[in-house]
Amino acid sequence: MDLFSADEHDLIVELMNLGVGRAAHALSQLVSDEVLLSVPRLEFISVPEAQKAFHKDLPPFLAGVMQSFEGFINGRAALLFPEARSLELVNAMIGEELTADEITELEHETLAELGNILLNHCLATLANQLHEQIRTDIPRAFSISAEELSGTLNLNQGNPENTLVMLVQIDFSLRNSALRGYLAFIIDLHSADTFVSALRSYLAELL
Amino acid sequence: MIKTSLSLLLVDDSRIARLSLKRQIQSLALDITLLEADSADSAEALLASNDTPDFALIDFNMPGRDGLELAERIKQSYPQVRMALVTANIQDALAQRAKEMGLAFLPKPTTAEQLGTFIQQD
Amino acid sequence: MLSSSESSGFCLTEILDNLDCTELLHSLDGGVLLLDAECRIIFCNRWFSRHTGFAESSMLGQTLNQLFPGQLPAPLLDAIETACYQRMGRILSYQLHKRLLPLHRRTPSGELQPLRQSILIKPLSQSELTLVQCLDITNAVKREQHLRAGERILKLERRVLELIATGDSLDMALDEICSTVEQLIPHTATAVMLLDETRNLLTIKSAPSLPASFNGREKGLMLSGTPTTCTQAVQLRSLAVTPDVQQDDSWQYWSDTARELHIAACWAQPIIAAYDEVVGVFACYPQTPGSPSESDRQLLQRMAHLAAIALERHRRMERIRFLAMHDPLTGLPNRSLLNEHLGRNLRRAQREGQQFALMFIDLDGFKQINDQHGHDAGDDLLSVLAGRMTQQLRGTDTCARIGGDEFVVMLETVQNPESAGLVATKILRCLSTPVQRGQQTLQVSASIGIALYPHDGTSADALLTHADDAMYQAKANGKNCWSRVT
Repeated sequence: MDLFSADEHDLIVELMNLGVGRAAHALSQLVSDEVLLSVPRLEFISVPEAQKAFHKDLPPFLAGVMQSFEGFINGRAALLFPEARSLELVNAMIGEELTADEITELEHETLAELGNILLNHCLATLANQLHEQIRTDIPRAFSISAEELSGTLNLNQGNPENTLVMLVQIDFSLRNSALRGYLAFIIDLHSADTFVSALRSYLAELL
Repeated sequence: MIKTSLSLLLVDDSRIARLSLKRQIQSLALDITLLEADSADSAEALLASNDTPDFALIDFNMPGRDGLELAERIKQSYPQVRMALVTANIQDALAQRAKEMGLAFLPKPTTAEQLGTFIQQD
Repeated sequence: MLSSSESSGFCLTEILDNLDCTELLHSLDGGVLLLDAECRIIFCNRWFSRHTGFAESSMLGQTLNQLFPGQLPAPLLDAIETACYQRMGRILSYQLHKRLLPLHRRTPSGELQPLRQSILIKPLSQSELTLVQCLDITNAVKREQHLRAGERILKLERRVLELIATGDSLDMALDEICSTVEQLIPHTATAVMLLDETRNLLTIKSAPSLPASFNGREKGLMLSGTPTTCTQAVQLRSLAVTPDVQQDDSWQYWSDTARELHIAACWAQPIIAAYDEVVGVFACYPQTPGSPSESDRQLLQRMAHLAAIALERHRRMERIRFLAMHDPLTGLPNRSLLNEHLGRNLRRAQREGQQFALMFIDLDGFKQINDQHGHDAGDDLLSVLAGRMTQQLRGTDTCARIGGDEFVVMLETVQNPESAGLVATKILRCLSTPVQRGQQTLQVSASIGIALYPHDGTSADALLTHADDAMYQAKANGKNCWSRVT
């Protein structure tokens, strides 16, 4: 999707890096250990492309956290992991050396907080740097199969043509546990206009 | 006293990040020549073909070699360059590593004041 | 008439329309607060007043930080501010924040206990208000701890089972069982004690974290003596508990050792093997007086069961090894075991510079017994003769059956060739003595060839060949005699 110019794309990556960097800082303070997070790739895709990408790139069972947001952009943000690895991450976060066989309600909550910190920092950084406002709802953790993802993310709600998916790969590394997750921002295209104009006015000041 | 003409190397893979750093530096109203590189490799190439700069602002998270790896090389070959790690990764552990290597640590987003302090300190 | 579904639909709408939201929030089993844009409480439900002890009126208009000055953790304050000022929804999970609000709850026994909680903070849309929800997750935490503990035990048990299945060292498996329990019940030493064949003496088999001085009990605990915790466990076939060894008469003799080793209590679980046979005791020695909890009891049972499995397997391995190394008819060592003993004795004799003797024994007239009286008679004869031969030997000597009517005897040490000859003579006599089998009288004789180490050979092969040759010479000399080829 060529909705964004190269500079706009670059700016979003930079803002994501900022947000993720702050999230990593917050997480590292929470667990008193270094947390490495990096943003290797960002792409904007349509809903059908997103569905294809999910099927291709994601493992058959996923654990994730979803949060709705509204403000200068509206939509839903999700953090996705291979389900088995998400337990590893939760265990690394709480300093538990044993791997449980299944995710419990407490671990769901911990995963929800992890996603919450990450998504909030990304969204807040986007809004603050662009001098805009955004509000987020409370997070919800889920464990689903890849087929259920579109439903869970409400990908087909409304007209798919009016929805834009921003997919961000994110590499986690914490206490010898390293894994790749995905951030998916499902943005209503009506609000994408405000997004673009916010980016443009930021760039106009810079260029 | 500040030298009349200073030169500064800017290394960041993001054009926007370089632009915003450049803007903040220009707002300081100092006579500064800027060299820009988008990776550790191109930074080394620039250093080889130009006069050694007085300062370097280096991003940490870049494709290929990271900022600290580049800083290590610069420290060996051009020990007179004063360097700062400019990064969105604001964890104490990384700040500590930067300090151990003698680098200043500037969290992103930077402000013009922070950059001014870094450039004008003795 | 309205159909029932229509009427209930109608009622539901009506109910919802007239619903008092405040009453609903008050009746919730969980804390609900509404904060204004400045983090001040503008509503709190009854659950909240009940768990804080503050009257509702005294909370209104206050921030949580004012209500609990200096008591709230930074992440909670930060989350509330982020939600109220920046409108970001937050969750604070129990696993990452063991302390959130200083709330307590009463246990069924009436004690006050910190309330395990997670907190959701939701900025409400269409308003400046923020909803704070405090969930009591004490039960979920208990379930989780239970699950984790169960998993931990399973994992340790798996390790023990792997050791039992793959290794053949009984000691290693039993040590692992002991250290598993020591990990799961901290500040406790453990021991595995086994009953001897007389089923009267308990001796320590494994006690990895107890010093040798304690294993001085090695002389053992007599079941017939004064009952102790461990002997009681054997006799009662169930867990025996001495909550405080210093207060217990049966421990009087051991009270100094117990004090020295910080043993305050003793819990003994019998180890019950196949056919309900008590084979030993798994003993726990906690450093503080007390009785085992329900989960401790379960753990002891499971570990005693694992010990039983380890012992059972060990016994079977021994049995298999015995069968592989012995002749099934006579129970004498077979050629493999003879070779093993012979090899060992060669090395020993060489090291110590001693002599030993090897005898090759072949029965005379055994084929006729088989032909005349049948194979059963032959077999019975061999069994009896094997027993007689063994009786002529010392425990350290070996008598092996290496063929149908061929035996080899190894005398572990001999002073001189004459003493070997004396033993050969005794063997000849016992073999030629008739055997009564019902109405039948069976009689054979034997020819024996003797070889001496080191004079007649210094390797197993050389000695066996030499003894074999000597045996043929005895046959040639008219049978029922022994010979040595020099």
